[in-house]
Amino acid sequence: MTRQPVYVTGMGCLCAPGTSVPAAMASLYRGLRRAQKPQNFTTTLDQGYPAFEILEPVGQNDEMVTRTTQLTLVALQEALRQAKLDLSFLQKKRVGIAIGTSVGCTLNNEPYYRQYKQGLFPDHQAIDIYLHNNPALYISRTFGLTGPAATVANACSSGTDAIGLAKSWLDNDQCDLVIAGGADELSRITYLGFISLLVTSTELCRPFDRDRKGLNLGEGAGILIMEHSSSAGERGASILASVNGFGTFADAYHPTAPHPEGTGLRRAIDQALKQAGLTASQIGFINAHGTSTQNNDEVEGKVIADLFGTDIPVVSTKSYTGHTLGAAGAIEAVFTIRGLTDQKIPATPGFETPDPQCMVTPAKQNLKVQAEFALSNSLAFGGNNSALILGRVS
Amino acid sequence: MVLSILGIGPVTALGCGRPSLQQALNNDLKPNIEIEHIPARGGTIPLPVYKPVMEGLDRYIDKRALRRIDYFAQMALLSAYLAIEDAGLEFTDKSRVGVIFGSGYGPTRTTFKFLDNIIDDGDFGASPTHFANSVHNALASQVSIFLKLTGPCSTVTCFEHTLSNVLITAQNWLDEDCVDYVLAGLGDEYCHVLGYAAATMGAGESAKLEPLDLERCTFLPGEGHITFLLGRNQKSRYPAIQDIKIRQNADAINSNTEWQNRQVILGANGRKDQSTSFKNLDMSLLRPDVYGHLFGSMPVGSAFDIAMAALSTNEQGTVCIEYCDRDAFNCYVLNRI
Repeated sequence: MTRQPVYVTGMGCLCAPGTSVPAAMASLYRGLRRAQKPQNFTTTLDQGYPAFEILEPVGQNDEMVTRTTQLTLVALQEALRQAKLDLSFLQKKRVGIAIGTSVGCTLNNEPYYRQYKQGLFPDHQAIDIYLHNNPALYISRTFGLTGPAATVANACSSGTDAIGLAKSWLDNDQCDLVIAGGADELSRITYLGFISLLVTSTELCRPFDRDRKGLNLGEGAGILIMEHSSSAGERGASILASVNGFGTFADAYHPTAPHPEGTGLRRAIDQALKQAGLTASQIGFINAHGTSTQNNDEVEGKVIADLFGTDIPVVSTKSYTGHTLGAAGAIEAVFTIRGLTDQKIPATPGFETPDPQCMVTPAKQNLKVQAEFALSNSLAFGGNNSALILGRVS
Repeated sequence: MVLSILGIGPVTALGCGRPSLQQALNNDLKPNIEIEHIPARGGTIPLPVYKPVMEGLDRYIDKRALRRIDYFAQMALLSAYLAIEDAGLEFTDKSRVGVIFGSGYGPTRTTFKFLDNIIDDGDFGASPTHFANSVHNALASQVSIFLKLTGPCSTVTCFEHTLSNVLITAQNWLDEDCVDYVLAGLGDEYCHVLGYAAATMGAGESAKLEPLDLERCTFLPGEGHITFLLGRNQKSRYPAIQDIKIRQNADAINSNTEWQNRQVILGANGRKDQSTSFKNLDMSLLRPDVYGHLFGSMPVGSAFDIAMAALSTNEQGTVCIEYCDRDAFNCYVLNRI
């Protein structure tokens, strides 16, 4: 089957560095890191674990709409504007929506459960909110979309996997256009969960650095509008990038640790290259998963070095955003596209001393690149590994 | 599309394995329904809940290994093993087997156990084991780990849109030649908080789940898991899924004369909020069968209808109709090939 190329015609994102794509990119290129003790909740832990929260007001003040959904909506509005999309166009086409999330699909409302445990008989408002805020379904219902709606819950690779799913729907002619991405708010529950796993750092994260001590959590959303050129041409939308290849494979090794040899990641990258019809030498830079945990950076660095050599430009934008979980892959896809457009990648602050075990050395300064294609990696709990190849469009 | 069903692994209130569903089709088996006592002002209220009686997982997995995985993942694992056994297949290349799982609510018991740690023991008490098992994709990854399946592994969660997404993803993986087989699993687990929430929303008003009584709320929570082993255009003892039509309105279904000659299975499950939509379907034309009263109410309940359709002896084929949104239904067409 001959497949038409899939393109990106609109992007939106918000995260700690900024509440729009231009604002976030400006912060990245200036090297700004906005992390602090979480402001939206408190804990009784005696140590502080910095997090990358969005401090600006987000969306509308509506208690029936969760913060994760609000984040999705803000990023979506930016993407729709750029793609010159309005409601009438969306409703007359087969428009699908695929959103990755972790917090956004979990029934873990702490105040509700506390009331329940105390015998206070909470009413079902918290359950109503949960039932109405499944991210993909919320958008699908709000906009009256007629295509498939999927909320992808693959932990930290959810955002990348949602984009891969969207590409598959377009490749198989199941949609005319897909809204794809990821969103996650910073939640107290997740924050405490990651601290319990001993993978969170009390300092700012240092991806691929010899002295890295773990990750910092963050929050945000990233949205891509994906379609074929014919659909974009109908409304005179500009093409921003191509989505050339996607691969995802399991390690089948451990619930929370990657395979030491990165077997799943290697195969995911191979599959993405194969689907894109490219070789490793054609990849101009890599936006790494780069969480700054011991395991991830060592395994990912080894795989990158093996497949692409040690000189390929690498960036971990989690230095600026923290780990935004289900949103990470989508936000990083947005940054990767901007890197291709700008022919420049930001530095990876926090990286100072190379770790021989990691084998890759992210740039300490913003770096000019000559890249027609770039790779964005995501590794997740459960041993999911996903790779996305994006292309520059002149 | 032709999505071949090669094996079926049910773990439901009717029991474990394909024979349990066949017995129920022959009216030889009743579901296991247990009474939960839901806290309410002034005491408790009884809530009948459909629960599987899990047995046989230790045939496949060492008991010591089972201690490390939670109840929902055990249900999913048993269901996956049963599906493979039912197909009589041994995978020669495990990198060519994908795992796609879906759930409406995810691992709720472990999610609330994690909250118990924090509420009872303080923020220092958070359990890493409970946290790791509370993520939605824990089931699919446990299946991939225990069965050593290194193909794609994914999880979707979107209530009544979950089943369609699971099957469409399986179909795309097969069509794109990423895999030769897919384990497609769907399930939900009951927990005391869900029971309480369900009761505040009308569950238990009727002691009996009556799917075709569209005037009353008769929904009762269910729990279970089913895995289908799916392949590409392969001969099988089961009918194949030949078409998936998402978001069909009642008019489109009522006017489909071809479907009126087939067996129709309606995914009604006693929920009042869905009844208004079901009422728009012309029951006299469709003359539907219903099985919701055998499994209980679950967002992924129509997956069990597909299994019943696969076991049906109907030669004309079967259409399973699932509520997905207000006046919108997903339709799954099964035919023998």
